[in-house]
Amino acid sequence: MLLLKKETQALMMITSFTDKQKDFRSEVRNWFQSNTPKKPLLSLDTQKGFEQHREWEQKLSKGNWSMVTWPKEYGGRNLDLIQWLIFEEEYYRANAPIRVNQNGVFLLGPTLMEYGSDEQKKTFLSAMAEGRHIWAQAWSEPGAGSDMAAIRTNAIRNKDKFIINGQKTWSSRATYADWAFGLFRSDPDATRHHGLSFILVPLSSKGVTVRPIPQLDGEPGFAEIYFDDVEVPIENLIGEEGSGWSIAMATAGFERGLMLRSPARFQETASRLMKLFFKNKGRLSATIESNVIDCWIKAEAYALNIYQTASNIMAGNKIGPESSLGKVFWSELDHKMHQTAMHILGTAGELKNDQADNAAEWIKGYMFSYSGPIYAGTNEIQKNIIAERLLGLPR
Amino acid sequence: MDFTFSLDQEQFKGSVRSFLSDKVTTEDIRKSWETNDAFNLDRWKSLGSLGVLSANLKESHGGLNVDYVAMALIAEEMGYYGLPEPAAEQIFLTNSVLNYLDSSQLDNILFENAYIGFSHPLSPYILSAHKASGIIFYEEPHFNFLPLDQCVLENLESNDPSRNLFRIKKLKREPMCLKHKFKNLNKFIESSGMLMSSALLLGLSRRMLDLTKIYVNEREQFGKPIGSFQAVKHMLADAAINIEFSKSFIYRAASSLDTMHSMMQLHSYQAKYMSMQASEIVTKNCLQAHGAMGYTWEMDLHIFARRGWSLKGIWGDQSFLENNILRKLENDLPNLGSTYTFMDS
Repeated sequence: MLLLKKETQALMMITSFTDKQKDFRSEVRNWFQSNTPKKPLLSLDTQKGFEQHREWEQKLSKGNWSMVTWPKEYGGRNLDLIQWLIFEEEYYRANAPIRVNQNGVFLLGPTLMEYGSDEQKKTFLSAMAEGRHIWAQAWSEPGAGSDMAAIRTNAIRNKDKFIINGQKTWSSRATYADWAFGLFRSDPDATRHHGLSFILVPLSSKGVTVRPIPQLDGEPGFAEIYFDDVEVPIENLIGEEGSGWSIAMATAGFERGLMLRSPARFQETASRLMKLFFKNKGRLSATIESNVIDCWIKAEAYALNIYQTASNIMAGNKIGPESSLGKVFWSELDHKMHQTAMHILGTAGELKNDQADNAAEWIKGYMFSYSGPIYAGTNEIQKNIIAERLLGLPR
Repeated sequence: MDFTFSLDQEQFKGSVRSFLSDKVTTEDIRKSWETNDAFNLDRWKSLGSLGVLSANLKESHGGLNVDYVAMALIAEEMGYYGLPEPAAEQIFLTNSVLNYLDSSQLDNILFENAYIGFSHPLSPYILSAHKASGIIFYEEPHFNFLPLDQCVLENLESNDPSRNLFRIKKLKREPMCLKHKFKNLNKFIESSGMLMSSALLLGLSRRMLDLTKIYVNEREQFGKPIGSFQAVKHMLADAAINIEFSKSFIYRAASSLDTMHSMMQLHSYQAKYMSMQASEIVTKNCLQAHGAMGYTWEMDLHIFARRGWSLKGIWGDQSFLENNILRKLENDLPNLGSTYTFMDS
């Protein structure tokens, strides 16, 4: 008999919330009920909207809600990942504004937590949490997109400074942000993944020129950054000089994985889609019905997967290339949900001032959903990672 | 919230897995096809002495009251190895009914290593009925039992030679109505059947992907392994993604059976829906990656593909699942959103 008796089972899978978790949910819900802006803010990719969103970040910070998983000394609450997911569910339920500082709090924050010095954590995490520093990403270059190891922008060490020359592109939020983090070639003789460093750059530095790039919605959500003999102190180097690639990979993992893409966003979209479907059901085809159901189920699948992943991390396991599975899944799902909504909207699907079904929001989301399969590493690159690193297929 | 497996659940899975990897080879399965009898009595008895067949029976019935999460994990392994005997059916269907009967009713039904066939409107054909001691069948609103010698059976031929199917043609006498106090027993059994078929499908999908991984690493064209080509990589990556996102539904549905969760039915619909869709994508992409070899009887891939094709139609086909999910969501429309996932109504 190989089985153990039930009595000896100390632990069982629990797929419900504890009272403590439920209390936490109520606390979050109450705060958002009284603090979420009643009127939607302007687009965060306009100057005025950007500042409105910065104020929202500051309001979150005052309530200690900037990043609930961070240690208290940096403005966090030292909470676990399940509480983080509950927080996110309430955040999206309240329809609170988009996090203008998501590059900071969700990507650079966890990177600093793992690779930053104490001094760097002290300097940057609180400023990030308080909305004083809004962050842009600086990865891609005109010749280094999917092939990020082809980065050429130099950061050459000169005593206690780096001198940066070159060009970054598709830098999210760079148009109005205060700082950028990115990967630079600190050893010009090294090739590919070697000789790269992870450096933080104030966008107000002398020699920095930002050229905004309008996105599909017409707003400059990303920009090109030109560096012309830009001087950055060596205190802004994260980790060792030349070890930037592995740090950047960790950051990219955060972007693909659960920190940036908590499931609540997709569950809320799926539920809006379901409501849109039932409102118009009489004139819709069986195919649309099937697609709506499929979308809803997949949003649930993503949520459960993330809860299981979070539980596993809390039990001491690490996640690596698995985050690529999720990145492909959520980005394709997000696109399918919006595409299905556009089918339901029919003739209203081009109207930016439609009242009945709020078409404008769907149009905006629809256009944005084309970006998901591209950013954070295209889905084609993710599938290569899955095949080579998870399935063991030859390079 | 602790969405992880306990050490006991993992150990149980591990011991069943090592038994199956040893005792169920594809050669064994092919040999049984030649005899038209997928039910190997020795293997069945070994599963009995391992405690697998009675694991989830309650203790007063001689079982160990093992939870459905652990049972789902072993059903997954049974799918992975293509176990031909209906052990998963015995556990998830028969045992789940027996658990709600008084011990006195079991006298004529349950004895050591007995196989009891099962028939339900969502899965009417009885597996290996020729090896059963009796048959439990559901006719609304009752579960009934009849010893095998009181049933006239008709043999049906499945597209999967590992599934020897039978249908009850005639009953020689009135069946014994199984008395119980669980009002929702049929709903519970339906959920259990969906969970079972989902877990089997997941195991089958994992196996097909594993077989294909080996093949594309070995098979060379244009001077290199075909697994190095991006077109092949992306097909298998899609298979892996679909497998990954069908898993959590299954374990959650199992957990909901363990706790008699109010949304148990919805959770089992989701599990079946997603594991079925994953299985279709995995089967298609894995067969494609094998090229013409994938279309042969000789390649082992179809042993697992066939089982999946059969499991699609039973315990909730596509229309059944979509209709039921939609009805449920229409009812719950005001509650939908990010907090609905773990709601307990």
